[in-house]
Amino acid sequence: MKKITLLLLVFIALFSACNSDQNISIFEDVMTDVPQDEANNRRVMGRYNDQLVITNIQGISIDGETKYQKNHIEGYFVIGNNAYFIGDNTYYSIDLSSVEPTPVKVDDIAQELGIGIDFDRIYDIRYFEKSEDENVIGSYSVLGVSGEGLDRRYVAAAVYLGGNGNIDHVYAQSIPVNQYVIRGGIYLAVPRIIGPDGAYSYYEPSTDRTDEDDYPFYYKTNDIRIPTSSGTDVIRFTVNGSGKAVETYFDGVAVGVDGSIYKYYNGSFSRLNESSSTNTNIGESYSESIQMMFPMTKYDGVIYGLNQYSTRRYFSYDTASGGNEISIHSISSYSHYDCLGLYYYGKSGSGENEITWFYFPTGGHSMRYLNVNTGSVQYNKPTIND
Amino acid sequence: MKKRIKQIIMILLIAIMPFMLYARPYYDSGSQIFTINAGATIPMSATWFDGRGTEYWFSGTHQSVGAYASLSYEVFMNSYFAIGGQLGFMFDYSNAGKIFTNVPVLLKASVFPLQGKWELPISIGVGGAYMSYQEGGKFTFMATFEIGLRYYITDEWGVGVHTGIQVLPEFYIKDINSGMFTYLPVTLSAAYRH
Repeated sequence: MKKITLLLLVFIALFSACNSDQNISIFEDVMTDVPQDEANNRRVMGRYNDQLVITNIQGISIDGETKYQKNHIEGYFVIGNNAYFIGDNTYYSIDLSSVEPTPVKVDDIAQELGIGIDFDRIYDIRYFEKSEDENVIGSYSVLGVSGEGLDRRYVAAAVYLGGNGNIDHVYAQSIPVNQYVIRGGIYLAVPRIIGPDGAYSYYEPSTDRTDEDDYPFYYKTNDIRIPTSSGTDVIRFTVNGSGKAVETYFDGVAVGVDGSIYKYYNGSFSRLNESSSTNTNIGESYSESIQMMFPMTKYDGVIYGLNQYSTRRYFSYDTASGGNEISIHSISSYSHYDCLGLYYYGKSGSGENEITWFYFPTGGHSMRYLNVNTGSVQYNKPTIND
Repeated sequence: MKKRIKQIIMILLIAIMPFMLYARPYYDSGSQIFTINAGATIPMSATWFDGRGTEYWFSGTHQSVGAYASLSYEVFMNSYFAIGGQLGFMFDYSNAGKIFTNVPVLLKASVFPLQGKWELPISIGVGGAYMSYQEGGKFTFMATFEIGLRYYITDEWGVGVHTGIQVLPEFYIKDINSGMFTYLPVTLSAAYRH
């Protein structure tokens, strides 16, 4: 038996040595590859010269060698005219005004993170100011999902930008949520938190979920912790206050422009009190339960979020008024329930404020504009540079 | 671990003993069998060694039904035990519809507790496989376990059905991407013995 074991170890050592190229994993390629039509939907959206630019991601070639295939896109975010990608363990940027991409930084994310990020669908892009830290000019969270069918694995990543504009830190966490795939081909954002100290956290869904038919978008969770960089909890709350298996539902979480962290739970907004484990309710109660709070964006001191699909509403949260007013607006013409997130676009020609949200309906990619002044939805296509 | 392996071996021996008791040895030392196998492979599991765990069947492995074919040659060391080699080719489709291929080259050892008109071959195979997907390719370790049932139409020619498990790991010395795929082959065989 010892000889057989030794022989096996020799085999493994030999084959491991053969596979010394850390960046190529056949199994990863097989597992993360996606159909062509889905890959074709991968686009980057950004703003350039006051135009919304959407470009297909067809792969990036550097020195004549394809480094970044569209099948391996893990996430992206946009700063100014540049779209930044994370993929194939590499950061890249694309100047949206040009054709040729340029590499920004080459790093082995997998080594740094200890996990592999294998987004196969861009899910959510958010930007939060972090002016309190001079070394960090912005933080981005990118959330993607990998896997297929009922075994999708959510992967979240937060990227922090240093004052020099370079990517300073990347945090990510793989969250297997096999039971948490939503029917109808919709994939929900796992509520995540970027703490005031810049630390990234997430909540881990419990392993069981009830009332699936009635509340398909509900997650159960035990608690949410926002760790400091040293790992000590600075904020912790337990949904039912007892720390045991939860009996209630947690709906969503977001970070406000003031750095505060808000949760949406049981029909009302609450701001987490950083000095204790208690929560301070600052929002007016909203009787209609919002199952999921979509990614928020801000414009002129107002945070906009999109609520649960079927209610077809969005909310605005006016920070200028002290953060105590939450307005709920109906979106009567919004019939699609697979919205992925909000993206601030800017002012239209008529001077009205617009929020763009984009989503992936089955088999395609599309966008809608929301006029936040009137609540109307515009279906006209944006300027698209494919 | 040792105890577990011994237990498995004992269970297998107990299971095949009735066949051996009633079976009349057909083969002698030096007898040979050529076998051609062809059939389907069903992806069973994908395991990652970095804590991501194991996912099963089509949704977990992100692959669909593929095919497997092999050619093997075995020589009997005594009436029940034969060793030989196997050259195969298998492929499965990823979710992207692309082919994930493997070319296994295995050393094979088989026991034949039942032999004669009906034959019950139980085999293990150990060796290497060259796997490739799109532009990438690697040589890796592969192990198989197979059990079959064959019927000899004539004294030399027989047909059978086989199943088992194929284990295909991908190892890295210090990489998180180390993992293991397993497949369930279901094949038909044509055998010629001499």
